[in-house]
Amino acid sequence: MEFGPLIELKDLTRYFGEGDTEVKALDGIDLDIKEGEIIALLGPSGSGKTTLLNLVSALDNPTSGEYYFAGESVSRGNVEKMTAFRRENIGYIFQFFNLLGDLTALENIQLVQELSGKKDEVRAKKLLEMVGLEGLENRFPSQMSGGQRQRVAIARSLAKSPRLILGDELTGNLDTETSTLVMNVLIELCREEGMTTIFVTHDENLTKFATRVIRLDSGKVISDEDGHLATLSGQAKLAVKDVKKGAKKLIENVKEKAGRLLG
Amino acid sequence: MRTKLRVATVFLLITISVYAGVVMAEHTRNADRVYDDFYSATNLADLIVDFDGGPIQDASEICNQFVSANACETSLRLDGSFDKENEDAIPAIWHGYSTYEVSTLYFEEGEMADAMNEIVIDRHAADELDIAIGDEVNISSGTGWSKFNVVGIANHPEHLWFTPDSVMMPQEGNFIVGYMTSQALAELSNLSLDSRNRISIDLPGTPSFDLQDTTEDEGAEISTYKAELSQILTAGNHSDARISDRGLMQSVELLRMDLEGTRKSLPIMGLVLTVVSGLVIAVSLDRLVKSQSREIAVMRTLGIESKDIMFGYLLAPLIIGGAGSIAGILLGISPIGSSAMTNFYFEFMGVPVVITHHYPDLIAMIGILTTIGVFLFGIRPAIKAAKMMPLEVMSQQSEVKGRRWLNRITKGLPVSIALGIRSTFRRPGRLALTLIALSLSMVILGGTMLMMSSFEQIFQQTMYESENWDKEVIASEENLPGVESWAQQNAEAHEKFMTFTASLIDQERTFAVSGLEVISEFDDAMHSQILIEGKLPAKGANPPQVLIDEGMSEILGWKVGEEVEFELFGTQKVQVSGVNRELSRVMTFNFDDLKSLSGMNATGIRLELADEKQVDDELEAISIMIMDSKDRQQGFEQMMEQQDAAMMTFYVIGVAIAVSILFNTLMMNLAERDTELATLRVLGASRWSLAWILTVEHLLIGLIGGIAGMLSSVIMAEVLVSTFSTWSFHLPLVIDWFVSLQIIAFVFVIALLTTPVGMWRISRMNLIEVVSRHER
Repeated sequence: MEFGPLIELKDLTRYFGEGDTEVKALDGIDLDIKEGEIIALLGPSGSGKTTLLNLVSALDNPTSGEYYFAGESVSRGNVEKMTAFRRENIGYIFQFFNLLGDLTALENIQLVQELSGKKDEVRAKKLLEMVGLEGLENRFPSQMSGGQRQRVAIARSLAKSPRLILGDELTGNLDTETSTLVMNVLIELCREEGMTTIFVTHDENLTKFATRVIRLDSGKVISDEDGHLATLSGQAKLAVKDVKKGAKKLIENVKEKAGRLLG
Repeated sequence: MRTKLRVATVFLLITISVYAGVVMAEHTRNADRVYDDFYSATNLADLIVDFDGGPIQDASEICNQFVSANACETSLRLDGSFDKENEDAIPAIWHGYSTYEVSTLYFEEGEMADAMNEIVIDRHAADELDIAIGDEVNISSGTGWSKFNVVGIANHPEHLWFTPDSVMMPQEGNFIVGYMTSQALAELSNLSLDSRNRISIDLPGTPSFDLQDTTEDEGAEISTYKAELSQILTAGNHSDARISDRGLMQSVELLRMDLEGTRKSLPIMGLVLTVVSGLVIAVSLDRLVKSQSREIAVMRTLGIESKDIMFGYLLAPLIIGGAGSIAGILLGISPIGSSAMTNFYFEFMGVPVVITHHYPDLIAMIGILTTIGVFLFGIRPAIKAAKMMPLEVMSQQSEVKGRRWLNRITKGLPVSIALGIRSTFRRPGRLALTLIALSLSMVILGGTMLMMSSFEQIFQQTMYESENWDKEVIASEENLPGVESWAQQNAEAHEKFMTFTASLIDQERTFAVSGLEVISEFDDAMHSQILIEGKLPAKGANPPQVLIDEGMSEILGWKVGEEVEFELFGTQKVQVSGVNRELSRVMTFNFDDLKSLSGMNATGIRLELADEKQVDDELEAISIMIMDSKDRQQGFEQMMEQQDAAMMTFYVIGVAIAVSILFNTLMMNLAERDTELATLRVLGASRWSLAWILTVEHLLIGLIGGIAGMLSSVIMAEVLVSTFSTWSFHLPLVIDWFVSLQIIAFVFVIALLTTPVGMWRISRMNLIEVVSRHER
């Protein structure tokens, strides 16, 4: 018996503006995403990756096309139904963490559970432990570092055991070391809990955490690769970049030395 | 859009404040001029001598001896009755002029009475009783009825506030004043034609007189005239004569005090309005600075100097304050401004000549002071903007910080409720500002509501609950046995009383001294006592025991148990046994104690009549005046209705200010939490979950703000009552808890109403944009 994909996007478009000012943020996206996949969504600024994330999370409505989640069409236009969809299915991780400053780390997690009717203090504490914040349950966000806050945000997104975790530039506000730490935590937990994950990033280094890498440009999917390959391809690109940089430096040095010798 | 709304609210507030300031300030000055013009046109007496012991025949001799006077008018002023067709007679005051030079009439139509059967009727009564020139009226002064022809309708400077002596409520329709020659009045009263009981004196210039509401003696100038007059009176064996200046003329003093109250309350109201506007602009600018902190940080990073940033933020309050002031001034001088207020006020007071002016000096002062006030409040946010450090802003150091103590208190609660509570208290400084704004927003509305309800309660207690008589009959000493005998045969119950006017030792202030046959807190007395402190006076004590009213106790500092002295038929010493509540300043004796002190039997009898029983001709014939308790109550009701109408301006301004500040403050509170609420929405919080969180927050703010609003309203009501309080018109503030609850409920309801508005805002919020914004 074969199960269908968790997410099916069929000829999905999202246009902004009208007439001469119309911008095609997404232009005919067709995607199937299976349960348990960890997807990195890459692309330059304005490529449509955040727009796609917003549509998948039902924060926005497509201009046209179809969006099925677990085989069911996702409601569009009805704000309350879209909210209910997010509540039941989506865990969201923001770039700026968006933790509630009045609540402690533990309470931030418990609030999401409370909102979705899945209050479970044991799980909330366990999640904090899993993200390495054991003993910091009663700290307020203002008393935590950026990395710690993002780990609380990850724990919060997992708190109600959603089927899909979405992250928008979730390491965009962190240094490289902390980014790696945060991503490790996220991927480990998602794998452990069997959750599908889509994260938007412009950091090629993060593709190593994905099982599948989708690249967008001008609102279209320009590549959809296996994670492992994508990681190699990404690393190769980096290596080429480094070589180019080194060669340029070398040429400049040579030019400089030649100049000095000649004159 | 939000910024526009905030600017509009602040602009509206300043406009209302300046409008109210211009209206009140111009009205006060116009009213001053109206009274001055009227008193000058009618040559209101500077001094009056009343011969309480009865008419004398040598009054003109006294006038001749008093050479300092510009003009000296001898007259008769008697109580009486007016025959209202098919109804009971109504009380009257009749004035009989001799030379018609002092305290003359301002004619609406007709001319002064000249013949023995001619009378001029006061305009207030003519309007209410539908009396016109050419009508024949039937009047009496305790010795039978006579018919007079009405030859004029006029206003008298001592009867602008149209009440019988020692009664505060206007009695239009149930009280009349008429003017005739002194000879005509003497004949009506069976007196010799040269009988006079009053001398009205016009002095050179308008010498200042002692004000009843101050402890200083402002009457030094007039006291030399009084001393001279007093010597003449003593030499002529008239030691019972009572000299009064304008400060002791009831109508004149009441109107002066009312105006003085408005004048005194003006700076308080102005200050409150400016502080409210300033505070709102400060909070709004603070919010603006916060919402533009990134832009400011960028400008600072790009090297724009802090003084340039500060200048920009200082310009906003200056422009908004200036524009709001101009709009307020334009409204204030428009047809719905000060002239409307003055015309309305004098229509209510019954003053016939009202000419209003505009005063550029007042207008400029109000406009400039308000603009400066608003500008000053804008300085702090501007400094804050100028001092903003780019790194601090960019690195999110200004984020929300959780508070441990709140955490401990709300730990066991569901997280959504805890969040609502913690959000309320997250910034004590901000919460304090919110509460101050909510408190100030209510002071005008709440203060006015509490003051009016206090007056109403006191009037209710003193006029309805403590008066158990139907008719009060005033009769001459020789006719009193006849009235008593009528009462024994016709009334269900009756009670003798006597009333005199006494004065404080070495002071101008006078008060009523009343002797009652039954002194009780219950209905067994015709006038039951509302005892505030101490006990009822014991009969036959030495010195005699008395009750004093709470105004007297408060102003004079007389305490229970204290022995005090005053002037009534010489210096008297009494002991204060208790303090009661009365509308005017009254000292209450047991009847027999006052009888032995005064040597008089009684001055009147109060009657309780069976429902069907009416006053008959027999009683009317032997009475000087018969007062009806229902007429007094009707007068009170009319006055309260008019007062309510007069206060409508304050209510409307108060409601407009309260609603705009409440909404503005609460909406800013909401705006501060945009990111937080949008985050919750993205995380899947349903509309009802958010409504619940906001409701908890608004319930708390509403409750705390409501209590703060109520407390500040009480303070404002105290201030207002004290500004309107005088010796003659001193009423305590009696807090009506129902009104207090209404004030709390007002804030509470508006706070709760903000929840759906907040929900509407959230539903319109662009979640994507808000959540992707840098948290601040």
